[in-house]
Amino acid sequence: MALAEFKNPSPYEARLRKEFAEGGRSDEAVRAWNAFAAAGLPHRRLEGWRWTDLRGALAEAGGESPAPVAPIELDALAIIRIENEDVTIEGGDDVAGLSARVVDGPPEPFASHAVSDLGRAFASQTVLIEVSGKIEQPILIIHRGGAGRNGDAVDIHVAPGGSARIVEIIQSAGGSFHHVGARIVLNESASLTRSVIQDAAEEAVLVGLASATLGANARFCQSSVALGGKLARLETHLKFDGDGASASIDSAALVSDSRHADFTTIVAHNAEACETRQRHKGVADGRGRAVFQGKFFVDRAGQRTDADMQANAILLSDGAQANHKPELEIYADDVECAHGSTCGALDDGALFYLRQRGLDEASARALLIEAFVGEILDDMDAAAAPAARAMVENWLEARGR
Amino acid sequence: MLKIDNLHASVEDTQILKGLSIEVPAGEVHAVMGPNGAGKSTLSHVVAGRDDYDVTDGDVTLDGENVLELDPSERAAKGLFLSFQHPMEIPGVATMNFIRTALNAQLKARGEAEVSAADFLKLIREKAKLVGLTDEKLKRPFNVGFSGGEKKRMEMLQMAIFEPRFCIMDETDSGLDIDALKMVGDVVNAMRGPGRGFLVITHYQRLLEHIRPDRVHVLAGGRIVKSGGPELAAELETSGYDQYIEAA
Repeated sequence: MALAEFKNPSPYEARLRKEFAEGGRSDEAVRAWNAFAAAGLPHRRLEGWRWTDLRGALAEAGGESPAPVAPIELDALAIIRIENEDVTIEGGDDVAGLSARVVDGPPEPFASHAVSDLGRAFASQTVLIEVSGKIEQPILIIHRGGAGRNGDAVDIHVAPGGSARIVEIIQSAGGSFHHVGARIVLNESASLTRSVIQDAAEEAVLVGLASATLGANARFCQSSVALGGKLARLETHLKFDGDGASASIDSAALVSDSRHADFTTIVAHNAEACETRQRHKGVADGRGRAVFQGKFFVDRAGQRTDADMQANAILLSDGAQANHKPELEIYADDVECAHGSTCGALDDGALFYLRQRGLDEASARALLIEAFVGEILDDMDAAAAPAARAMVENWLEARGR
Repeated sequence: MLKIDNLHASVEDTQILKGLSIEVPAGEVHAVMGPNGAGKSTLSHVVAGRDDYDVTDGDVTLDGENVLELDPSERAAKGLFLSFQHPMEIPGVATMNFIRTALNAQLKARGEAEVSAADFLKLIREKAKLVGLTDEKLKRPFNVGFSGGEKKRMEMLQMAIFEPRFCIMDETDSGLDIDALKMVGDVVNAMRGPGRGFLVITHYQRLLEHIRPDRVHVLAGGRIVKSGGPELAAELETSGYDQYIEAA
């Protein structure tokens, strides 16, 4: 099968093509590659990527000596490590209602998406997690990407009535391009709590793509905390396929120096009486940039949708930026959809109050920032919250708390 | 103890304090009364160190030490406490954790031993009873969903816990019902004594029925226009501030 060419390849795209052409690829991989090559790496002239220029960020990526990131480890029922695309699975093999294994081939495509196509083109294997019972203990997935390009693919299926807690830690080394795909299918009355901790070296480029499909009365709770990277985007596509399902999507980004963190979500209410609660908190310091793009799409079939989206940002310095794009696209007439977006500095009155009580300025600022993102951390799964909290504290410490 | 001498302060080029002088000796309670816009809140904020004001002239000293040079947190550690007229609601900040952090920050700055979690719990429970705040309120995020009166109780709780050397109470009586007014009086009366001073800023005489001040000062037009004994408060209640506004 012939390998398609890019129209006008950037040096990094040319490098990707060379890497792809050198491997022995299946027809399915070539089809995915050709779909990717037709679009190329997303860039800022595309509406959905105007604040997050992946092609631009990769123009200089790929340093030979990647800066490593200190590993975060947690206790879990099963630990799945994907390190430079090598998968190891520890534990969980004797747990009733849980199966975690590596299967050949890429995951199913979930959307027309260049990075998804890229991931599928390179993925020779997928981690498949199947849950058929109620699994109380958390399952930990550690994605670690070293030098060069690394792609991880995970498929999570929860059978009707099943439930699970997944914690994903995504750590990308400096100078690397790390793309992580997760496909989640929740059948009728299934539930999943997914916590994502994104930590990366300052020079890392990361795109995390997740798709979740919810059957009737399913419940999906996702909470993510990100420190960004040279460019880091966590993108979630959520689709309500059955009536009466619900989801909460929380995210917090803390970006400093010239880091960039992007949370993009598209929630499609294609069924009746589904509920979405979404909160985003962005904190940007230095020349950091926190991007939030949230879209609620309500199909004609999405009557009695109840959806709320709130995005708030705090800018700590003159050079910091927050870009918010909340969007509603509604075709049903009996819905409740709301969105709100705020952006500002720390409250001077609150700062003075705390300082009058004896806290020095740095501690007072840190307390207010912690309180601001605390709403997200407080509601995070207990399996992930301590690690996320520690990451936030380290971030504040580094800002001279 | 607290000496404010010829204090001039402005905010965004508007001169608000125009040569204000008050001296509160240790062990005394002084009241500052005045009409709206006289500069009462500016006085409390400038002494506590809010950045928004420019001190253009004058001195503020606590036991001889110039406090205008100090950061607000350093002033707090020296024992200067401000009970805010409009206390902040701070969502996401756990009340007990915050008050303990603040207390320990003050103790640490003074080189004193910090309080343990267990000792602090005992202390805050005891003082909370004094100011009429339930355990449930202490477990909430700081002041979130509190009524105006409850926020003032929270101010009094902190004052009782920090045991500051000098307390500035900025219209603590506003928004209080009769029971709460009495509580404020009880807290102040229990704390007043040698080595501690109070500056009670108020519009009305009613709080001064519970806290009998040693001196009363009338603030109008950014300076003290009259000082006298406690009887001055009663006199103001009947005669009003008009004569002083004109004089200023």
